[in-house]
Amino acid sequence: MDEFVAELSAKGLLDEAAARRLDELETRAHVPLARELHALLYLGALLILAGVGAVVRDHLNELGPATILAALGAGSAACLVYCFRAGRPFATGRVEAPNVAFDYILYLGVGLAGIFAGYLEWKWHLLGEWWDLYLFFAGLACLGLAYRFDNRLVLSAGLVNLAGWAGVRFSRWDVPALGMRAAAFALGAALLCLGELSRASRVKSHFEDTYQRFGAHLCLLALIFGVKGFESPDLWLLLAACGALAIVSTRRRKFEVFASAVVYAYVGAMIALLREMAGDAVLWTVILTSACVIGVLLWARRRFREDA
Amino acid sequence: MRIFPADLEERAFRHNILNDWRTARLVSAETSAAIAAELGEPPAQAAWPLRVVLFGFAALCQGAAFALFAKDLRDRTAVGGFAVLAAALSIIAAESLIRALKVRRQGAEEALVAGAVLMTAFAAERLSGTDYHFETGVFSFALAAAAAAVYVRYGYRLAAIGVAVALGVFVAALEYGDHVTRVLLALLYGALLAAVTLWPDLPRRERERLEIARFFLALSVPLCLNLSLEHVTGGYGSGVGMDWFAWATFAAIFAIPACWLAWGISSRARSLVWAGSLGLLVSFCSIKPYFGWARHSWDPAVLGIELAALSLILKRWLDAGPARRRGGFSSEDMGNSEPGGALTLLAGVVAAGSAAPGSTGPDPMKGKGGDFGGGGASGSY
Repeated sequence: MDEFVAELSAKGLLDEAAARRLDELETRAHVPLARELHALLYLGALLILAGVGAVVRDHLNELGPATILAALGAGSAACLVYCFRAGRPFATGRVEAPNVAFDYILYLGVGLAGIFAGYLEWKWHLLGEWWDLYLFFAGLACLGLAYRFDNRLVLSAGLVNLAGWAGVRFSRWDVPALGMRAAAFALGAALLCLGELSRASRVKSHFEDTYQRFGAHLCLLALIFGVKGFESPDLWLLLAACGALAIVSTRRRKFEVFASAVVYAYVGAMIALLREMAGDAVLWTVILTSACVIGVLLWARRRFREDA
Repeated sequence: MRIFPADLEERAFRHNILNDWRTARLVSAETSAAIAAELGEPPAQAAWPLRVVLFGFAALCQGAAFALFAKDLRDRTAVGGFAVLAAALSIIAAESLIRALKVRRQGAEEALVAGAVLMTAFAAERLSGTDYHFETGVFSFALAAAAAAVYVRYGYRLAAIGVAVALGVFVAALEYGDHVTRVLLALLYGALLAAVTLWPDLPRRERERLEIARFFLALSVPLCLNLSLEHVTGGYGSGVGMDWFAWATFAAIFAIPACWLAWGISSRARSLVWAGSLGLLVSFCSIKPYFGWARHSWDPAVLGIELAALSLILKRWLDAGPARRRGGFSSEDMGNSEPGGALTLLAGVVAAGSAAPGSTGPDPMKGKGGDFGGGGASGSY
């Protein structure tokens, strides 16, 4: 028997069944391969989508639009019909997939439907200048399916589509206040709000991390690209946003967001600082500022008793 | 020799195991709390995002400090001497940090130690050479020695991998020609893999820590022998020229990962199973580049279908075994098996990227050429 498990068992901290199960795992008498199976399916789904996209792009003339649309439509419909038939009913909490391949089949169905719609628009320009609405509606559809089937891959695809739509649409409106950065910031803020809403309403609260990750990076990237110097309001907005994110994430023990906030704030401040300096002062600034950040992080770690 | 006492290392190892059990929901929260209390306070260790950030800032600070004081030194000996001094100061700072803060893994001290290793190797190179060119052989050999010393002292996984990489660079720097270098590298990594596996009297925590090094070494052997790797990502190559050496390596890049896979299955070592599987995947992707066959845009989709089918067949086969197991392997989900974090983001980008109307069809940025010269936005102009 494994030494650690045997000790815990002898001290009465593990019952017999748990001890036997853990002993099997620790002595490698039992090796679960679920992670490997998921990795193969994940890689397979990604390669299939990338490959289908490449085939459509490279063999348009040989295949013809009818073949392409029929194949994509049939593939996508088959995947989505399967998911609606085999999927478990909607629930506000976490819903386990009915089988190991389910999440990837849904992801494939969504991806193929996206290629279908993209090809349709490319071929016949149905929406003309408003082609980005495909991205918008694809994003909304993905969000709907992600909630219906509790699928984070599809949720991510939806958020990327929405980010693409916001970027394309707002960059076409020649109004400085509605530029691409403003759109990214607005979308990021909306995603952060959605994350909060998920958490507060307990509807798919495990999606909070995905919303938070996308939202935080979109907001901070939008601000950091506007930093030109100390006179730029984006710098102060960035520092304020990073400070707020750092405080909230520390309280909630979301250290990935905390680390991102620290890095964005540092990079923004350095962009402004280094514009004013030259020669040795640059190196001195890097040394002193990074030492300060290390000191603050070590203090914060002790102050908030952060766990591994 | 190790800065952390054995009992502290064992406690940290057991806390990590307990963490895995808790994540996989193999023990309840109450049981986990009771076991944690029994084990005692875990050694201070930062969560990985903080560890990465602390590592980055400490490396930045150290690099800038070195550049600031070394930039005016022109003489090789002076630079080498200063690098030795800087390496010693870094080690002193790291050890002080570990002792003062009673930490085991916190990023900042790891960056100081990593910097010290690099500076030691740089110092050896500066102090040994007399020419103006960079002595890669001396640098890499010193790097390997310093990284080995760091592994013995601190037990950092990164140091173990650093030893292997540095020794590989050293062998490549000997300049024995392409064929001999490839064979020497494969032999070196094979020998290191055997040494790591067969090293006597290693406690379990040390063996588990070296699993990542075993994975790296096992995967490196077929990769070093793969003549087509530069063609795998390089589009339509013209093949590698099939002489006897190419045929031998072609056989080896399939036989070796298959051996690792068989070894991993028989010893139930996940690192070897991963190394064997990835090695075989790379070998399958190398067939066309090896022979210079044309690649098609549907190749990724075909490979994707094969991988998905393999996964489903494997699962059915495992589930059909007695007690849903085959030879100790099962498809049982222990939690956290699904891709998360950056992998979901990648999936989103691939799905959205394949579907965007701008990316479907022939290059949308390519104009059709104007009839009257100029850039020509359309053919009908």
